[in-house]
Amino acid sequence: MNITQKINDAPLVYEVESLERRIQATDLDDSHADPIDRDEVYELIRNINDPEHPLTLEQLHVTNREHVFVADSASHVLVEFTPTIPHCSMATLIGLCIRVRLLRSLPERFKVDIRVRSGTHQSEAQVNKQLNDKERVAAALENTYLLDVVNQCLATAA
Amino acid sequence: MDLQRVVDAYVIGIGESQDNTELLNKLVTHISAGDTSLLELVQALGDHLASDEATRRSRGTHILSDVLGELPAAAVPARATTMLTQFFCARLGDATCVPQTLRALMALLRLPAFTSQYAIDVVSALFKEVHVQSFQQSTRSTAYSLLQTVVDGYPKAVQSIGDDFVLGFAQALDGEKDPRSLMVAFELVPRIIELVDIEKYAEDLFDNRDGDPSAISPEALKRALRACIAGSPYFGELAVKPLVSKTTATSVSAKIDAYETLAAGARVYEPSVFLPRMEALVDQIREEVFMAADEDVVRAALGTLEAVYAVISVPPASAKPCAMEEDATPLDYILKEASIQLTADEIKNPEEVGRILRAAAKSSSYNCAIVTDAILPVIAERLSSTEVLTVRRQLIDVLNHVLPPVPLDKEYSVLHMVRLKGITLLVLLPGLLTDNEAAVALTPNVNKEATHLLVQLSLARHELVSKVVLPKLIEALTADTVAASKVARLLDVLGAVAVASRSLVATIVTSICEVLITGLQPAFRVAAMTTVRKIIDATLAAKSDPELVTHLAASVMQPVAQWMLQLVGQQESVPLPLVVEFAKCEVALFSNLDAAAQEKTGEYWFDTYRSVIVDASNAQAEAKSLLPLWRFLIVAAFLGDLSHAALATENAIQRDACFEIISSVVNKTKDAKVRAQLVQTVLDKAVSADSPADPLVLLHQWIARALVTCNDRLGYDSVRWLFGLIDAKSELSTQAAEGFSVILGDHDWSVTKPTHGVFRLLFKQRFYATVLPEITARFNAATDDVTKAAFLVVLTNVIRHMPKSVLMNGIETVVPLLLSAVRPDPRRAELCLWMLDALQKSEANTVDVRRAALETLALVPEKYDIGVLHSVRHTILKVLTKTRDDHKRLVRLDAVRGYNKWLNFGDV
Repeated sequence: MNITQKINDAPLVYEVESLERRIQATDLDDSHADPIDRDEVYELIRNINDPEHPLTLEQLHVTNREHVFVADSASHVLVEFTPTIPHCSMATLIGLCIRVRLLRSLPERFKVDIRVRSGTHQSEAQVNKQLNDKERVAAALENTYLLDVVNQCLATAA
Repeated sequence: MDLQRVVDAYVIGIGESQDNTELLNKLVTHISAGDTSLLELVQALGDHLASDEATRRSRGTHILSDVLGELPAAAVPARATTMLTQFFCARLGDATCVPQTLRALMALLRLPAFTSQYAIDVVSALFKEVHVQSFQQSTRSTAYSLLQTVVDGYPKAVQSIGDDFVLGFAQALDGEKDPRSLMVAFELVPRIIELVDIEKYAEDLFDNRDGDPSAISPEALKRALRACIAGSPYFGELAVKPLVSKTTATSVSAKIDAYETLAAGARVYEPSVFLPRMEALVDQIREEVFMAADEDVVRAALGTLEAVYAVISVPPASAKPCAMEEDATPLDYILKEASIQLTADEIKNPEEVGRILRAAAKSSSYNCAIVTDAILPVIAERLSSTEVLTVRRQLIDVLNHVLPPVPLDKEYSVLHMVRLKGITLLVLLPGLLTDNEAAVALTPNVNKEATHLLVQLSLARHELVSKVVLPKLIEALTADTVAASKVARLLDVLGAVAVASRSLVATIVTSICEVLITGLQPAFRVAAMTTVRKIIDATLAAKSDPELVTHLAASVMQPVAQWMLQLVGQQESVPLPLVVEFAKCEVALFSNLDAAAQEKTGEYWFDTYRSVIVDASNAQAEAKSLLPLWRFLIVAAFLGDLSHAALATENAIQRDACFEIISSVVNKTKDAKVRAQLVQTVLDKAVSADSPADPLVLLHQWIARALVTCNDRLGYDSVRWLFGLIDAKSELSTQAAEGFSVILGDHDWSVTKPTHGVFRLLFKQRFYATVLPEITARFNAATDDVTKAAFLVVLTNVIRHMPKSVLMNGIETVVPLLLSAVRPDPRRAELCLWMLDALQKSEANTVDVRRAALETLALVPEKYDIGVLHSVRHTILKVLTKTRDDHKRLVRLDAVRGYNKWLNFGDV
């Protein structure tokens, strides 16, 4: 995307904590099932690039491990993200990236909800509505230009 | 008076097209008397005049213009004139009100208070707002009258408008066709010319429509009108009477028009409408024919006669054998008169009598039967009874004019021909007529039927024909004032007789050649030579005896050759077509001679060549005109042999050299006809050589190269021949396919630019455009792999030699073809599919196995091309989607990685 004027020129960059899981004996035991948990989902989205900066969503604290809610048995995932500034116009695009990433990574049985964290964006309701409208998401992904941008953001996550 | 009520009633009256005179009179009386003012009327009309609805506005304007038209001048105050003029000028922009507005302005123009300035306003508004030609005639006429009134009454205004007036007038008049409007406009033009300097706009006013594609000629108009008149049978009753009386008009074109319209109508109208006027019509036509004032009129009149009889004289519904003689037929008008003429002491105008009878007979087979039944016995009887030579001659004349022009394509022509032939042969029977009279009967008729009869006669009595008729025909050829068309017909007759009767060939050819040498007018020499050539061709095609060929070659052709050389010696040039025709004869005869005679002829011609062209220092231009002669001999004797030799030899070098020579010669031959003949000769020799087929493939390729480079269509025949080989799965299909590089590729010397080969512009483009669709079609139609492969080889060879710009056209057809040739290695794809089995949950597929399989799968897109794996991508993605739901987290992570790699695989 050709952005001449950045929405947030100097975002705060946070230190990233290492989240690497150690492989345990049960991980290789086929008789033991590993349900999908918060860490696994967070692992999928933390490395998504910000559309504006060459930084990951995790580094900008847009996504946060604590804001991912997973219920494997109910096949439901809720991800809440925090735009860097309340008037961030990239909020929808970030949400779309997260949604596409989960769409391509989680089992198909999961219902995924993406939301702006309450009180962090001035048009929160609007962004939420847009992100959870299946048809709008599908239409957005038909747009090859937009899909290109999304793919670029996801390139670091895979 | 309640003004509003009157106005409303008036408006309703206009809407229902009632007579509103009473209401109008009422309004006019009140306004003139001063009871009501014009202003009040306008106020009462206010709603209508200012309405949004066009019809209401139009009706309001209608009333106002009606009232203004009737009001005496004194009843309209000066101020009102100003207001009304401005109002109506503005209203001219409202298209629905224009007709009424123009009438109102006409009324205003006669008022004393109307000034020159108003006139300028009115005219300017008219030219600016009104597109005059888009209105109906009455409105257009009013507009012209308005202009006329302005020109008459306010010349100064016109002068002050000046150029714009001329331009506006020209635009308003542009396209006007109605004579009523044109009259007004034409009266106006001289007045305008007086008032205004029209220099600048002379071209607009005097628009010359020579180049106008829609220009209508009188003929086109006539044709269109005729189509209308002859459009419906219901017009018949009304149209026939005036048309018949119009045939008596003095104007030739009117007469022709009337006749042609009647003829056209005859096909549509009921026969009954013609019957009452038949006598008058026939009398008139007879008069036209006998007076013979104008050949076009006569032709039209006879055409009408034929067309009308075709419909009115039809066989009775119930066929009664004797009815024909007893019942009066419409043909009686003609037959009675003809019988009287034929039985008279002296037959006047035999030609005219014959023509009328012929026209009647031509109309249908039934009418033909009636006419011949009625007339021919009379003629035959008279011929046998009378001894007076002049009468006999006249009778034959009549017969000749009844005989000829039955078009062969009419269904009854066979019947007609048989009948006439029978009668004529009867006339020609020994004893009935003398030989001389037979010749007289036949010679003037050098048309189709007479030729046919002469041919019949030459089969049966060829000595009579050769003794009596032929000398007459030959004599006619050399007549001083003979017409070109007649010469052509005479030569046709001679040709037909010679072809039919073998015994006459030598006589006829000899006679024609003698005439050619001795006395034929130069203009007819080529035609005579062509006839000789055709006779020789036909004779040779029928496998004639060798003696005849030798006779023709030695005693007939040589004199002509010597005569031509003699002509050249006298500094007289010989026309090229004559030389070509002669050369064709010579070539045809040459190839049918025996070896000894061929050698003799060959020596003769080489000697002649040496003496005429080579030895004669600085050969004359006239001598050079004979060069095509040797060219033909070379074609027949040399190139043909060359192709024969090339196919017979086993030495590849000799064979290739021969083909290269042939190809170069063909390519450099300028004349397309000669080139075609060359190719034909070469291929004929090659096919008849009975030699192995693979050199033939090569020959076709070389010929295609020679012809394609000079954009000759014939080249594509060879290309198609090669395609045919491939289609037929011949053993040579690979050779044929590979050979396309011979057609288009570079060569060291044969048919190349450095060796001055003929390379036409864009020949590659044309080749590509012509051949590519055929390759595609044949490729798609092919069912087996061998044929498909061969066509792919052809395609590869073709596109390899095409410039890039050419390839871009039709790239969308070529690429799929080529892609289909690129087959992915099925093993690689299968390998991936095997890997999928390892992803299934089972005891054998432990977590490690599944992860290893996923890692391998993730590596595949990095190693191979999408073209190889495209076919399995979809399947793999589907399986990986399932694996994303594995119950082990590690497997899921690997599955997600693999899935995303395969998803993006090939997208970039």
